[in-house]
Amino acid sequence: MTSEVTTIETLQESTASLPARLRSWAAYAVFLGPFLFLVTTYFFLPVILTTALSFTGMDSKMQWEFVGLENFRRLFSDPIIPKIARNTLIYVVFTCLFNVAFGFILALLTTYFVEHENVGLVFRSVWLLPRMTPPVIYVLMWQWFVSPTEVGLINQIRQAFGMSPQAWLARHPMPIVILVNGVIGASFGMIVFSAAIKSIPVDLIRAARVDGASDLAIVRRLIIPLLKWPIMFLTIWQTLSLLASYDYILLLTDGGPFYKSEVWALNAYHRAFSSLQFGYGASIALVLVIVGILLTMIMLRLFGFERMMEPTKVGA
Amino acid sequence: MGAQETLAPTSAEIIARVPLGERIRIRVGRFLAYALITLVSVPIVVMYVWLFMQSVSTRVLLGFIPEHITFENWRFLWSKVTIGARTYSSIWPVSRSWSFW
Repeated sequence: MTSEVTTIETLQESTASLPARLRSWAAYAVFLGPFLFLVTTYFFLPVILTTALSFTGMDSKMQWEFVGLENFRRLFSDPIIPKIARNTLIYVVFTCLFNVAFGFILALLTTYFVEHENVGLVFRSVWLLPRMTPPVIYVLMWQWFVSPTEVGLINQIRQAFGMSPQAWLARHPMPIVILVNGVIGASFGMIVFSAAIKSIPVDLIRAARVDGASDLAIVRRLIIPLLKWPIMFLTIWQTLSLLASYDYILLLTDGGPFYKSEVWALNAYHRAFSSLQFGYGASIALVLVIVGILLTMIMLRLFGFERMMEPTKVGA
Repeated sequence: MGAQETLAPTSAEIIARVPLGERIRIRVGRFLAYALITLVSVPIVVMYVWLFMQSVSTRVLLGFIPEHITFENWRFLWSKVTIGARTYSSIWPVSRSWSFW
């Protein structure tokens, strides 16, 4: 059927007069042009530039000096790289888990268990506050929370129980980095999952209740299976975002102490903009791009993307 | 419309029809849900309260309770702000251009 339509369209186009064909092309240009321009300028060009840069030894002199695979040789013999790769893996996996799982729990609590719409809305608004706050202010609040001095909130609570203050950020930088990013990411998950839970026909939930299903059974057998699509979207989106994100880590720990919270993207930033080794920084970033593309392909296959593109059976 | 309402009772109506023991179990579940969402949301609220308290006081007790209330930190709303050798212009022209974008 599709091929027949395509053939007719092709035939019509080939027999159409020149002005009609021009009008048709103008329509394509108007509707697709801005999208193509933005994608090319902000997605493809940076990747091409980064790839080109990664084969140069560009530094503060800003010279395009071709060095072949020298940057990559240096990258894979850098003693700090295995530690940074391990940090990145821990950061991405645990923050993504926190974002998706906690976002789901928040959505479930505020849309399913809290039955008063306005109360749920208040809690959702509270969780959206960090997302609306500038990163510098958000990190400032966390720094007070985990401050090593006696005024830090956790240390005040410890003191109330007769315990001595602790330097939380210096002792446990990675768990705090995961928590700080997780709280922001969970709010995004909460919004997506809340909308998805609300779109489930209420009759299904009522029918399950009448049949004697417990809340846990409704969540496990009804809500989670119907939320496969948003779960896939959020997992892929968060993984890719987290791979490339470093802003909150930069503000909170700057990768320290002693590279304990340095992740791959932050390392690329440090090499390029702190050490002014743009070529080397680009090669680190290029590895991240390749890893991101591979991970996307693997995850789409794991989640059964093609099967999920089929029309939903709910409400049919 | 009326017939539909009869066919589809609300959650509260369904709960009202179930036995007392089951009803208590549902109520306890709901209470735990409220307790959990409150517990995890309190730290975020506390952070914003701290931020505000810091902005309206020169000294805070326990890093939290304001001792000397002042609106000096909010002076950017009605005057130019001088910090060290730098003077920052009024916030309103900046806000106008920001709201335009």
